[in-house]
Amino acid sequence: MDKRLPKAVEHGLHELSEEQPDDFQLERSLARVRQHHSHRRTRFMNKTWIPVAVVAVIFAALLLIPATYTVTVGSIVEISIPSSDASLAQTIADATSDLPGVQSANMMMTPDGLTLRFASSETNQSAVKHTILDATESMLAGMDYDVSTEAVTVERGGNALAAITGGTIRINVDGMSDNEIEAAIASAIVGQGMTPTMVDVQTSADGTQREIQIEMEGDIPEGEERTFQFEFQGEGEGADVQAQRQIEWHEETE
Amino acid sequence: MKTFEELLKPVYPELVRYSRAMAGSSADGDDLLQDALLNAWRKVHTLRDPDGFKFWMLKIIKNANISRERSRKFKSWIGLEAIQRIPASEPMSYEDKDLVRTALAKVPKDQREAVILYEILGMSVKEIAKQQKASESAVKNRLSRGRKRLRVEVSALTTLEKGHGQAFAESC
Repeated sequence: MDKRLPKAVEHGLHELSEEQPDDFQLERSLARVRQHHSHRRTRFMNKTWIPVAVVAVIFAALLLIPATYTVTVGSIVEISIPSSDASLAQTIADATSDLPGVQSANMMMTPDGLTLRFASSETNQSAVKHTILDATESMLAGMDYDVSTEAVTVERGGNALAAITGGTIRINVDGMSDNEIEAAIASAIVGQGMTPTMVDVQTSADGTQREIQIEMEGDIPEGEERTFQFEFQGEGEGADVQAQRQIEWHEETE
Repeated sequence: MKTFEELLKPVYPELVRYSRAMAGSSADGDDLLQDALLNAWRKVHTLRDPDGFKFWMLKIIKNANISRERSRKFKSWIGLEAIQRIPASEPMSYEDKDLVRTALAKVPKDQREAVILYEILGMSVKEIAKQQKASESAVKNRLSRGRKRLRVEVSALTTLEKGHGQAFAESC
């Protein structure tokens, strides 16, 4: 292992290893966490069973509520090669200039090697990686190179319904008690590979309204995003009603 | 059963160092740590081994940082032919730790994390291997490459700053 680092770097690293937070930083952080937590029990769905007009209002409100969601629009593939050979860089550039689906290629040369960065509008990172590696296989043969991929994402605004991409969870609540609905929702969430951390169903005192709150969490594989749509179907006093709302789930990878 | 606060307090300084080094600045690092703490608070019930709290938090911070870096998509990379056309920059001034932190942010993430865990948090190669789910030889490789890249990035930064550049050149 190369342990020789310039003094300025050694000194900088030493300073960083000695760095201490200020006296109140921990308390401030915890206070902000507690404050956030106390406001995060989001009302997920408010379902009206009887008045159709009210249901229409709910739909309208859902359509008008702005929602920001993230869309994967491409992939980045980066290859690091321990070679500073300019002719190799040129050869690779020539070999990759017309690759299908690869929109741009940049390279950075340092004394330690060459880093190639390819951008593609293809969202399947693995496919892009293999396309590039197939094209450069003969040039990289015998070299100890690193390949990394990442998704290119953009945030988009729109109405909530525009974010639907799949993952529909349908539950018919006819004749079910609150507890039975809770169990059905929890089971459906588990079926989607997520963990329900809170499912709460409460019928109002006059029996005309049910409030459903759902919180769930789970690990989403790197580069993926998931959208969940909940549909609750049931029959009120002579009026069939259906309300729906979906939430986009974009969680960090772990 | 320890509370979240009790678990956090003894390791907090290390988490601050790690976050700041991963993010490239004190301010970004503190924001990163705050994001990670919010996530951790929500997920703490999934933590099976309280003794592994520090490593669990490091992973959450790393993931939060990946999310942040992704949002800075399409960073401005420069083609080879354009490098010669870069005009002379204004001198920049860095203290050593800021210089290293800024340079670390340009090191590829796995190499960067290995260098930070080893050099700043004082973890062993074995511990880093477990944290990165990699072999010890892979970690050694990342450390070696990370150090080399760090040196290059520091060099690139110091060429922009005359005084520090001279000091750096002398120290090499």
